[in-house]
Order: sequence, then C-alpha cells, then structure tokens
Amino acid sequence: MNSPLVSTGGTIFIIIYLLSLIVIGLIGRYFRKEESMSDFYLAGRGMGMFVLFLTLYATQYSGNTLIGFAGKAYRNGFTALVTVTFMCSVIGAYFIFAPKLFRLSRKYSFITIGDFIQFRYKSTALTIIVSVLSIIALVNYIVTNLKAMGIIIESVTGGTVSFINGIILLSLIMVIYETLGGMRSVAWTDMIQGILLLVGVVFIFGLVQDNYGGVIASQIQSNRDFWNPPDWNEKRLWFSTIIILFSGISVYPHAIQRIYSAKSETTLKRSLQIMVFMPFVTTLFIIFVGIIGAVQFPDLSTKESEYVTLLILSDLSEKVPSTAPILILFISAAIAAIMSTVDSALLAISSITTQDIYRRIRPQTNEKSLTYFGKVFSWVLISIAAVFAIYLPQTIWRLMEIKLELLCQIAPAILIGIHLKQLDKSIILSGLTSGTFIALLIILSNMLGLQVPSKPWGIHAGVWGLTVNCMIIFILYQRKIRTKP
Amino acid sequence: MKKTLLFILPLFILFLSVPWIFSKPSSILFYGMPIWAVYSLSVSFLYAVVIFYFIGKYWNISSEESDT
Repeated sequence: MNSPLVSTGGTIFIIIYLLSLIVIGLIGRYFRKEESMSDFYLAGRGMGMFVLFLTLYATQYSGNTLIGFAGKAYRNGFTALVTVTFMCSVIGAYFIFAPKLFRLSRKYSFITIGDFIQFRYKSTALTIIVSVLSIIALVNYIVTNLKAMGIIIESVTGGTVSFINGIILLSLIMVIYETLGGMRSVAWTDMIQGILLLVGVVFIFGLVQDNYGGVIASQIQSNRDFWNPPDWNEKRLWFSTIIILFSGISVYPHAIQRIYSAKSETTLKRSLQIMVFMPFVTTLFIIFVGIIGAVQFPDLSTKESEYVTLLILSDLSEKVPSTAPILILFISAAIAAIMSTVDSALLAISSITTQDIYRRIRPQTNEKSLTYFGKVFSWVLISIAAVFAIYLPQTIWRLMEIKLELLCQIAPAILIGIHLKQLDKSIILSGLTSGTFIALLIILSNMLGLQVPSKPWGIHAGVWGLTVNCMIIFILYQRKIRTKP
Repeated sequence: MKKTLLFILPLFILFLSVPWIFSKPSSILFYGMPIWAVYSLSVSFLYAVVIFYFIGKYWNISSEESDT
C-alpha cells in the first residue's frame, strides 16, 4: 500500500466537504416550491447568472478535464491542445440553437431534450430513439467519471479506501443529495464545486510553473517529440475530435436542461459569454501540467499516465511541505468536478426516463408519482453505473470518445432541425438511424477484432456516422423542397 | 442568409484552428511552446472572441424563424 497523499487534516477537510453536500441536498429539499417535475428537474426555472454559470462550468468541466486531459497531454504532448479548442467550440454550438430553444422551452414548458424532439417532429419513435441514445451516452459519461473518482480516492488514501470502495462511497453521497433536492441541490453543489475547480486548477498551474520551471524548462529538458507538429493523420484526428465534441457535448441532455433552467434570456447569454473563455484558464492549464508531468515522470504506462497530476502534487508536497494545502485543494476540486458532472448526468437520465419514456407508457400518472419514480430510478442507475465503472477496462479518454460517437448523431435533429421548419421526422429519422448504424458498425467491428480501425483514416466512427447522417438529411431535404408544390 | 453566415463563419475558424500548414519541426518557440501550438491556441482564442461578440450582438437573429 502506498502512503496517503494527504494528511489527517486534509482527509478531515475532504470529509467535511463531502458531508456538506448532503446538507445542501437537505437545504435544496427545504426550498422546493412544489412537488412537480419542473421544480425537481429544473429548479423551478429560476437560475440566476451566478448559479447558472457555475453549474454550467462545473458540469462541462469534469473528471475528464483533470484526469483524462492531463493524461492525454502526458501521452500526446501539445496535440492535446485540441481540448482547448473543442471546449470553446461547444459554446459556438449553443449559439446556434440555445436562443431559440430557450424561448420554446419557456413557451411550451420543456423539461427534457425529448420534449423538444416531440414538440418539433411530433414523433414518439424519434423521441424514444433520441432518449435511448442520450441515456446510453450519459451512462457512459457517468461510468467515465466514476472511474476517475475511484482513481483519485485510491491515490489520496494510499489504498486505504480502495478504487471500488471510493466509487461506492461517492456514488452514495451523490445519489442522496440528488434525490433530496433535485436540480436545486445539484446546482447549489455545482456552485461550490465550480469555485473549487477553478481555484484548484489555477493554483496547481501556478505551483507547477513555480517549482518545475513551467513549459519553458520542460522544453529544454525534454527529448521527446512533443514539440513536433502533428502529421497528416494526427491533423485529421484533431479536426475529427473538434467535430465530434462540437456536436456531441453541445447536446448533452444535462446541459440542455440548464438552458431550460435559466431565469431569463439575459442570464443565459451572459453565462455563455463567460463560458467561452473558460477553456483558457482550465483546460489549457491542465494540458501544461500534463506536459510538465511527462518530463518529470517519464515512462509511465497509459493507465499510470492518468495519475500524472496526482503524481506531480505528491512529489511537490514532499519537496515543499508548505504546498500540501494546494494538494488538498486540488483533490477536493477533482472530486468536485467529477461529482458535479455525475450528479447532473444522473438527474438528466432520471428526467429522460421519467418524462420521455415512463410518462408515455403511463400518461395518467401524477407529477408527484413521476418525481418519486425518477428518484427510485436514480438509485438503480447509479448502482449499475458503479458496477460498470469497476469492471470496464478502457481508459477515460477512450470511454469519453465512445459516448460522443453516439450522442453526436442527435445533433442535426437539434442544431439544424430547430431552424429548418420543413425538415420533418422521416428525414431526421433516416439520417439518425443511418448515422448511428455506421458509427456502431465501425465501433463494434473494431471491438470484435475485425480488420477495421477504431478511427478509419484518422476520423472517429461517430464523425463518419455524422457525415452520412447529414448527407442523408441534405439529400432528402433538397428532394422535399424541390417536389413541394 | 445572414443567419447562415453567422453559423458558418465560426465553423470555418474552427477548421483553421487545426495547424494544417505546419509540417516541419521549428526552432521557433514562444513561452516554451512550438509555433504551431501557439498558432492553434491563437485561432481558438479568436474563435472565443467571435462567439462572445455574436452571442452579445446577434442572439435575436439566431432565435428568429427561418427556413433557408
């Protein structure tokens, strides 16, 4: 067993922080206005700018940012800068559909992504397909983050709390405060988590710059090929990554719920305007840390590279004991980032299952019973996700990519469909099913060991699917407007 | 038409953010970063500025009805 990363005092700080989340859950329950789906899943549509910005920030920057992105930078060097671009690109995608979606959500009381699809295309089949794809992607998202959570807890406690127990413990805390106060509790905990995340990232970046001499020193010391420009295959992969994340992250069901939850249009506008610059003080800093880690701790395996930030902090706290509080801050930030993402995804799946599937099967069920069903479902879901997180072997980065390969297929239904009135359900359904089929065909062929690369010609399976999806939509749409009398 | 341009222009900037034109290692460094990485970061920052401006200025255009 390794020695614990934090002192007893640090452990107590983290325990207090975790317990405070349950207290916030209780406060969220106390402040509920009514026993309705809108109040539970959208915090009564009353999120002000400060809360909305921090909940968007804490939700979009997750365990992937702190663990997965640093690991990617460790393995791939400066090509990991693509993470900065794609995190910016997501806000550009919001600019395409959020203004109109927000107005529609107010007018027609949307709660889930499925509500918009049903309203726009009047197709239960399409709504269910979109809901199922969203659920599969979100379960993957939760699993990714639970894995990161297990890694951190095991490292922090030096193995006293194992990877498995860490996942179980934090899953339990999350599902408790989520079922107590719904979106209100989740958004309030996100506020704390967002602040912790931002402060933590900025401090660790400053500390690493100060103690290891930053990127300049790393460049001098390193003989690795991080500083070489990407080759053509890597460049295609770079652009493919931007496309898949632009179209995938922007339609995260939990992010869309935050658009619905905004108090006003101005609130939403201002929050998005700040969000577009956040990659430069979050993702970029973490990439630098990963690159510096590659120089300081060379020859780590792929799995070990995902611990690189923790390795740096551990090394620092040994060399400079006064930096120990920063280590605790970072660990709290990492746990916060993961929890804020998982709780949001959990809430989104619960709402999709309740509103888009269960409510359609049993339309006579009242709001109170629906909310109760959603809460019970959250418990079942987190249990299943924890089992997957414990036993699935893929790296965090790969799991994140697989999730987006599927999720990006629903992007045309939202980004294009919200603007083109003549785009009907049959066109979208044709594109969506074809795109999903192509993406799945490539992913599964690769997983089954057939001679199909996971990224044919350096392009993600999801982007191949999305290309087919958009081409079918374009052809059928052109045919429709030409044959229109 | 204006709406289409508002949506296409940011996508074009994203395309440019890939360091397509850099193929050989360069000794030019900025803050320890290779020039191609600085280029990509700069274009990403330009994208952020453009989106910031568009959200502030053209939010209502994005929310308008259209079928073009």
